[in-house]
Amino acid sequence: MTLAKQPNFLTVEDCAEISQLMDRKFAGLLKQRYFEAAVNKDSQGVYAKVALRNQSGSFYYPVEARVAHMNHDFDERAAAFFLIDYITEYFAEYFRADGDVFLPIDWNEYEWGGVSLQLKGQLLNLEVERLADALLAGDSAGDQLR
Amino acid sequence: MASRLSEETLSGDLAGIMDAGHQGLVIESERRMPMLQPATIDLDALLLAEDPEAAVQAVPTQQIFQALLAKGPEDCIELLPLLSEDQVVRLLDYDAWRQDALEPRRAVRWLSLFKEVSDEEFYRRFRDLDEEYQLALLGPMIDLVDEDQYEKLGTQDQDALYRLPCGTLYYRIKTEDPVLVEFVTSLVEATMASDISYAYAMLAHAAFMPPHESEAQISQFRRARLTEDGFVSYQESLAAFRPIELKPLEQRWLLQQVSAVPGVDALVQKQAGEALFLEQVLKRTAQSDQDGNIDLWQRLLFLANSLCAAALVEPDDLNGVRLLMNHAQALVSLGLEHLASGDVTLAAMVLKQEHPQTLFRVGLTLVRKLADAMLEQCEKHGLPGVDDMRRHLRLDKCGALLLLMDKKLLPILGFARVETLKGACNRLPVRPLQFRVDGRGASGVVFTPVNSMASLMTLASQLDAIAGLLAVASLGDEDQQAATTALDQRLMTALARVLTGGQFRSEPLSLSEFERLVSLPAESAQGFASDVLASIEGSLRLALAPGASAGWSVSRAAGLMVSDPVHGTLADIADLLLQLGTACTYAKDLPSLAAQRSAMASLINIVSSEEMQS
Repeated sequence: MTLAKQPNFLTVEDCAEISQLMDRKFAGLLKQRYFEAAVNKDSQGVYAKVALRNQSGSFYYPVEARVAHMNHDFDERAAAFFLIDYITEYFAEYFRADGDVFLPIDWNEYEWGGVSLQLKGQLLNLEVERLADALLAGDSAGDQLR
Repeated sequence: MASRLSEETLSGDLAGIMDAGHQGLVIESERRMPMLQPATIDLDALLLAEDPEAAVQAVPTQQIFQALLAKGPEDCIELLPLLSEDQVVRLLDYDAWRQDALEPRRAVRWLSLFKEVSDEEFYRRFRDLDEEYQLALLGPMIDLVDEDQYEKLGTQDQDALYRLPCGTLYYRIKTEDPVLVEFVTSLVEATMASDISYAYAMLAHAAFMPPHESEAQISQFRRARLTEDGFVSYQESLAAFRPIELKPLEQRWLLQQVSAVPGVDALVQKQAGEALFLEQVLKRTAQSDQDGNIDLWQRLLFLANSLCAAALVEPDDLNGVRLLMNHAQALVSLGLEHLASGDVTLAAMVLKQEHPQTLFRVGLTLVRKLADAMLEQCEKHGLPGVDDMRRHLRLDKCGALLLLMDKKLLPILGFARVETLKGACNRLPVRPLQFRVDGRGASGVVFTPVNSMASLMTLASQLDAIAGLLAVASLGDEDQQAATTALDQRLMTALARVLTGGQFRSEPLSLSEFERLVSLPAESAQGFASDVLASIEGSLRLALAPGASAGWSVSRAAGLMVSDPVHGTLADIADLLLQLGTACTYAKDLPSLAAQRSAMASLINIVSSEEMQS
């Protein structure tokens, strides 16, 4: 998800700050993992993605949310924060249940504080995916998968 | 960033998170406590018992709840009908609430399971709930519409209504959440099939109940029930973290110690990796008093539950409760070891007579005294913001205290020392176990609970090292730079000046002093360094001599007898000297004075070029 320079919308620096705040909030529960937050917007609404991941990418859990903010009393910035708030709440629940609360892999309707939003998430292993790509491309690095 | 997230949800929340004491720091236990872990309830064995219903109902609900969550309630359908009414209510008390607000979806998750058993069971279990629970759940979701109102509605609104069997009344489900809609329709159908008059009464009450009234009432009842398990209010929970007067307790058990005749192996020599002192005591008593140990486990669980509110742990947060149980045991063990002076036989007596919360507070007080003594030293040496920190510690505002330390002390004391200090001031006291790189590649600390006198002494030594450095730095500038300059830089500047033949002063080095430092032969530097270390050691020991007024040792101030309080400070000074020597060796090879100056500017204070010229 790329982030264009848009007035009054969250910047890359804002997202980095959000990621670090989330790291601090859940520090005792992260187990060598960390958060990466990003936001975007288009004519349909505002999108937010917060991934919980480790350094190698063998654990990569992106949670994505979107809201058609024009249907609610939100500007784009507030909508982005609304989504990140919701994802933060989700991760609180996720850690509480020891990682046993997963989301549907395709967009699903949710409601929070009277606002409809959509959410999806999928646990990925980027390390294995990279090796698989290498294997398919005939690269020797992919041989580890054999 | 002016935003809801940074100001309210995260930043605003951060003090709360830090205040909770267990989530904002990485904490790992050095020792496992297998004897003190609750026995896992075998749900299958309960079903095979001679009287399964009696067997299930004899188990405390908190344990049943934990076992159900561990297995997954959806996989325990056979067991659910065996639960008593009270147990079902308590399951909802534990799991259907978030921050004192009823969450219908969570309650519905449990209640809907009874539908899998039968419609009759579903209806019966709902009816058996407290009336306030029923109304608090249904009230916000139900509207009743009579025939007149129905006629005035448009076709679309009429289609959204459900007709009751009388044909003159309709009900509307106010939520669009499909799970809740499914629950309400199933419940009304099941109730209609079993007891039609009850169904009408239920709908009428739910529809006309003033909003939130039932929830407020059931919230009170719930709180009362949770208190029976130890889940007390936030204020009461904070009471468990208040320091306790140690003297009367120490004197009481000291007298017992004198009169007791210890056995040959009564005095326990603690070694790293040994079991927790509390576990050793329990092993001793297990042979003679198995019931007593089970009772103790219940009391410890009660203590852990009572810490939940202050630590922001909800009753359904099994991980959180388990973590608090570990911390509770750690501090109980520390308090017990202190009062019994490491005597297992005496400790068994203490354990029988003192409530675990008292022992917990004894352990906590021991660490708090250290933390307070450390902050006193920081204040004495003029570090910034310390008066506010001491106030926060007195008021038990641990979260605000930790954030203030990060803000004010980090630039002065450096990462490792501030983390050590934060651990000592944490709501659940911890000490650094290891420093490591976190997932993002930044420096991080893994903490461990202070769970024994040995662990407390380690923490005291670490704090002594910091206090000693502050005392040494004070010799160099009478603390004039304490609030503005990093401690390491003050010390290194003063050490550098001594190496060049000057006084131990931390004012910036002049150009000539800097040139002498860089050109100093390695052998001379080593000789000077040994002399400096010996001199510093002498000053520190002199200040600790009996009758000396300027005692800097935090452990002494807290009444702990650390074997050598000076040792940590000297090790740190030696480390600074080593860093200085390495930097000088590197700087020597640089081509110009400006380059040398720039290479060493992060370690020592050197007068600026302008000052040099003037």
